[in-house]
Amino acid sequence: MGGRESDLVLLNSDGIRCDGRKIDEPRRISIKAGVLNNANGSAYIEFGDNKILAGVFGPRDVHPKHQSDSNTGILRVRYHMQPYSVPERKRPAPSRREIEISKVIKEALLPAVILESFPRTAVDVYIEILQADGGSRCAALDVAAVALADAGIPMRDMVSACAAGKVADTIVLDINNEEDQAGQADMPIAVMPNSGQITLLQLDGILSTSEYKKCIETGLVGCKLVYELQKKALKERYFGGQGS
Amino acid sequence: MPPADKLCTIHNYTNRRKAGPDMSKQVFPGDELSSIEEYAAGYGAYDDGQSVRASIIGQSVLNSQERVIGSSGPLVPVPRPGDTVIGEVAVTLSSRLIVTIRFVNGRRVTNNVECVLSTRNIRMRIVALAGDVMVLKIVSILNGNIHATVDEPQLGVLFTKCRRCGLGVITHRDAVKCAECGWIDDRKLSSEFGQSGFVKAQ
Repeated sequence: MGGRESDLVLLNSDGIRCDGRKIDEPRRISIKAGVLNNANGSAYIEFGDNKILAGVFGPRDVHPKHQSDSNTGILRVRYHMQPYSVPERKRPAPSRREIEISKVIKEALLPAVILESFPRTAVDVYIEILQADGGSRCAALDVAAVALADAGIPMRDMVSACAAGKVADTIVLDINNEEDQAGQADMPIAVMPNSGQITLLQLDGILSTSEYKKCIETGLVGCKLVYELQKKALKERYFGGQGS
Repeated sequence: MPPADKLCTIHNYTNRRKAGPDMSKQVFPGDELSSIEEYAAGYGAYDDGQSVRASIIGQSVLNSQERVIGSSGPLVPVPRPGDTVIGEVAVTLSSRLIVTIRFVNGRRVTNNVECVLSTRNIRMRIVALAGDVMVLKIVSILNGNIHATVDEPQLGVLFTKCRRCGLGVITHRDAVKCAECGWIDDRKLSSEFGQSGFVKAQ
């Protein structure tokens, strides 16, 4: 049910996935904050083979002016894939997918960002996908949250995201590109870790009620792991990695 | 003598106050700083109805006199009430000036945020001209506008030019006089007019 026909063994009898991971094991994640000098805040993430850079500007004046809001600031997000980010050259103009993901990321970040203190201004988040390997929206959301915190934008909470999915009738954590293409379901989840509020929940595929619950639980475990790494990246940037 | 259960409550309260929030703790957005009964949210903090939480990364800052807790972290390039800003007059209107902010407390900002200076109560024909450099103090943020004042001696115009010939001016009592054509004009001058290192650097 679902997924594409493929010769690839997504999950072997020992419970090992196609890239050698266990079912509850995320890909290797590394985050670095403050990588760009000219942005107010920035961060870089390597999430498996995803390589993503985010830069934050603002709060700054809004152009065009009619977009400004006299009661609050506005958040603008651009998710953009570089032409060399995928095996076949991607045209650099924003595609429908990029426009949709920009909107999804913006809506996932909005509950966390306190913009009421900066009326008539805009906070711009630019996300560049340098290399894509499945789950780039979650990785983009993680790096955008770190870049926002690095810029000093007041936030109610961090936003941590991780995907879970169904591969070979098994719920697995953090699906990669092969599992995304040939798997049965993909569920990206973003959460505000301290309050526990979910800010993004998408599902591509079909799950039973019990699978759905398990998939959310698995995704939240991944979000928690990501949150620790986000904190570690910010700690290294602001406190030189020293403990409190 | 208060009843035993009352004593117990007081004892618990005292213990909790002694423990209090940690001084200078590293905090991240969303981290709990204290309960709202103990402290109010200061800069870099907000209250969610139950707890005071950090909103920016930094060290927790506790003001036990005013019972305020916050976080000292990276500053956003938007001024707050009480900040001194230096800006360039973008628009002059009949009763107010719009000033584009270039420096906040001596820190260069490039976000082009504007503030409003009301000139209604300044008894002067010309407070400043478009293009003048002014030093202002932020007084409030109301209805989405940043309001500033020049109601102190050190506040006002730092740099201006002759309205008639566009050349340099010198002070002439409370006004300015063109060094070339002798034209005398009103300005709300700062006490640092002509002495500001900022203008020399520019």
